[in-house]
Amino acid sequence: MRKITNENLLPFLVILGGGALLFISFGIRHSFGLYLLPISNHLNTGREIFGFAAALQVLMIGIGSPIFGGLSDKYGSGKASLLGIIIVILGLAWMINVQTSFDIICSQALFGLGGAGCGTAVVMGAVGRSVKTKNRTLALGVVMAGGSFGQFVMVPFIGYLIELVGWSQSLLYLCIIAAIMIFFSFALNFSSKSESSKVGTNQTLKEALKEAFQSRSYNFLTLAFFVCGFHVTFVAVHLPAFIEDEQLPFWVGGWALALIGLFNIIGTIYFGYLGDRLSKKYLLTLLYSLRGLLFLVFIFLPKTELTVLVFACILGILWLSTVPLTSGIITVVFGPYYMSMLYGIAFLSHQVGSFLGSWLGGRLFDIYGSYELMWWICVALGFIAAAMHIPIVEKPVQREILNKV
Amino acid sequence: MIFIIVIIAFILAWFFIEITLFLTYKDNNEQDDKGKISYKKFVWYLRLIGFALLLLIFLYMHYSGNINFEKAIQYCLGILK
Repeated sequence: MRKITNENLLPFLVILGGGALLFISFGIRHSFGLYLLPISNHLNTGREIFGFAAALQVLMIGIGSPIFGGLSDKYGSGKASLLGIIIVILGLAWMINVQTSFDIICSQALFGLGGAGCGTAVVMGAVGRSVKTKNRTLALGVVMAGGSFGQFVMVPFIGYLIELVGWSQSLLYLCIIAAIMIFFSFALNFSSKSESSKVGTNQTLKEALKEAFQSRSYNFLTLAFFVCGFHVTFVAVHLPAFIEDEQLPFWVGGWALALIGLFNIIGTIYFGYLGDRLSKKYLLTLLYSLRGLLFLVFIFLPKTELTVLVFACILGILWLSTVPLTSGIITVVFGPYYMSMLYGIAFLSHQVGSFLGSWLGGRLFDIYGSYELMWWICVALGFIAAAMHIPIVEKPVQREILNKV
Repeated sequence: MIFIIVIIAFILAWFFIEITLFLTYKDNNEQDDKGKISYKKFVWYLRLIGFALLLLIFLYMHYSGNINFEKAIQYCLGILK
């Protein structure tokens, strides 16, 4: 029997804890759409207030990511995620008793801030610090797949819960489910005990930020991550409506989204595996080029059931596969020490892209009556993002104290 | 008919994954792979996950019907309706 040593066990615990944390936090976060109608009806405000609150929540996750990333790097991932979970529970508890528009907006904003604490920036940082270089990108991919899987399993479950006990009571159960995350947050504490994390830097947070913003590689990576958010949110929000406009049968929209979700899980693991064997920057170049090419082919291709579903499958492979590769490059270039904060800043760019992708899709449709211009913008942005990765230097920055992990 | 189209789309996309993984394996120096998960093991894990997920979706589709299914997937992807 293979001997289980601390060297193997600690990274395994961090991966398990991080995957479980993302599983629950992604599941809860993506279930808020289910509360739109019941809460809007309860408050008698129409859908705009809840829609605004949900948009604010998404933005708060982006703003909170570098903050919690910095806290995680300074005080430990376990403590940072614990604080995030407590804020999430407070946000949910506030939501149980919403009486006014102010309540729903503030509770969602609070939830978004807490969600950043138990989101990708903190978890990816912990995993990046714990595992060795040889399997790091695969480990990041597996943890990310845990989050994607959480959306799939938990959201329908929460939907049934609302039907069963009502929206207010179901939020109480969500508080309990969120509390389970506390157990998993302890696992992230092991990231500071792993061998890899001991090889760090004596840099201060300020110095790390200065170094990152002076690095052309980091700036390009952050800008290109904006495109990822733009693509993903535009397609997720507007694809079903686009399919309906193309007069395709009703079932195609649902299946297209299902296949995107399925291949999203496969794709993150698949690119994580490839990222440990091939150059991550060239994989990202390939990934964004394939997205651009896919959108280009999709514009000219006749829209049939099969072409739409194949498009959905390929897009699913390329969906969130950017996450393990982007976070992997940050670790390679700057080391794992300040990974959470640096990934958090890149993630803020991703969230701004998400906001623009969703809004601009609707705005351009209202102006031109079709999504054609938006598809062309997606093609152009795909190739621009691909080109941005070519000059990235995928080597540790020249710093005397940063040793190879 | 719906299931046949879905399976064809799934196989075509899976073909892309298998080919690229195989080419990576062929091009990669096996000496460098020490301590990493092996190609064969990884491919089988991936096939297993892919098959299990497809089965899960088929089952969900069968028991929940199209409307609930589409709604659930939309919620899963964070789409507000």
